[in-house]
Amino acid sequence: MDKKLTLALKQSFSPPPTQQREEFINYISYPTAKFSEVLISQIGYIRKRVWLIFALSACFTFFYTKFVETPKNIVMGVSAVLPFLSLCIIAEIFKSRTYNMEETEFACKYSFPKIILMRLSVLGTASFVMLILFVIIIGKSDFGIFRNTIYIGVPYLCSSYLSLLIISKFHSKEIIYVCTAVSGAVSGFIIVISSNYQIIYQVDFMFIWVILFVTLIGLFFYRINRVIKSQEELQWNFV
Amino acid sequence: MSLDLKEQYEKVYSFCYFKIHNREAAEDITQETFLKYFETTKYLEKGKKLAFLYTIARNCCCDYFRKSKQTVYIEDLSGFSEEIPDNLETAIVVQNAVLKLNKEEQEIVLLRFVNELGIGEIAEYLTISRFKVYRKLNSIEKQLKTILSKEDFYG
Repeated sequence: MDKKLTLALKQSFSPPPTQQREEFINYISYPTAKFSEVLISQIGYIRKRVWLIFALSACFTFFYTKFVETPKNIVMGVSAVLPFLSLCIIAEIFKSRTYNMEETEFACKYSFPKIILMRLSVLGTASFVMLILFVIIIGKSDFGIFRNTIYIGVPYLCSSYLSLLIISKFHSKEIIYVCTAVSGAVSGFIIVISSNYQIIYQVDFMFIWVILFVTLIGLFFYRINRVIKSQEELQWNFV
Repeated sequence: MSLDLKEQYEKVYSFCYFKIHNREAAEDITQETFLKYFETTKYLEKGKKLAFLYTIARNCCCDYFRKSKQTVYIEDLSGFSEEIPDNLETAIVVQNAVLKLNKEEQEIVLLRFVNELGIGEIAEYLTISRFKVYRKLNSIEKQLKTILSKEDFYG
């Protein structure tokens, strides 16, 4: 319908103002959703593209492992994909900032930090399941579950930590493009290192991988904690 | 449903008001609608329950007509708020054009353009398909354009 007519319809049907709205809304008690219901509802707020990327990553990994024989190349291929998986998770968490949604979300019964924590829980659980899936899929690499976990976990955690660090330090809406570049850089770095220095996948270097893995896990959770606390500060500043 | 109870209150009130043309009764029916709605549904269920809310409102309006035997208050016939719209003449012309539509089409105009309900929600409320809602909207547009072009609405 043309805009002139649409606007005229809206303006022509304007009723007299209500008189008891505030009184009624303050008086009425309505049943609220449980915490678990709100948590599950957060799944609906996560964009479908995230689940699509998860599914595509899993399919890519599955078919890639079918055609690649060398164990190191399997791990390299999967390691290169995972930074982009972490990127779509980071982007999802911070779409609130990108689209200035903090104000509307502050009006929720649950505080903004709690909402963020809920989404992190949903996405974290999903990515944990994905990582387990990847470890299983690349099981034919002969490295064993432990080594596979470390080899694919390090680039994933590195990309996640760096993206979280960038987002917490810089508050521009376009910062997500920088995070994309970081994920690309981590992915590219893994490909280059794996192609030219395959020696790093030998058992002798395992201790370096483990140290990196443990350090990155610690840094990652520290950064997540800082991000959530900073949202709380933002809420108080807004109030 | 939007999390904004105030916004939905206003929209349901608007819907009731343009059905029964009585401010006080419309507000009473609005409150009754929400009370009945909350008896059966949790407020934070999103999306599809909006049609249910409007169905309750419509049924409450029907009950009102049956009980009141359609007593209409003259001062409420205009359908305007206390502030006179800037373009009163246009508003009257548009309202009269809408009144020439059938009841269902008038309801669709109210839901779609005044209360800004989605097509899916309107389809659920009217218990028809989305495709049929689109066809009705096209038909409404054609009829309104025909009527309004005679009134020099398009200049």
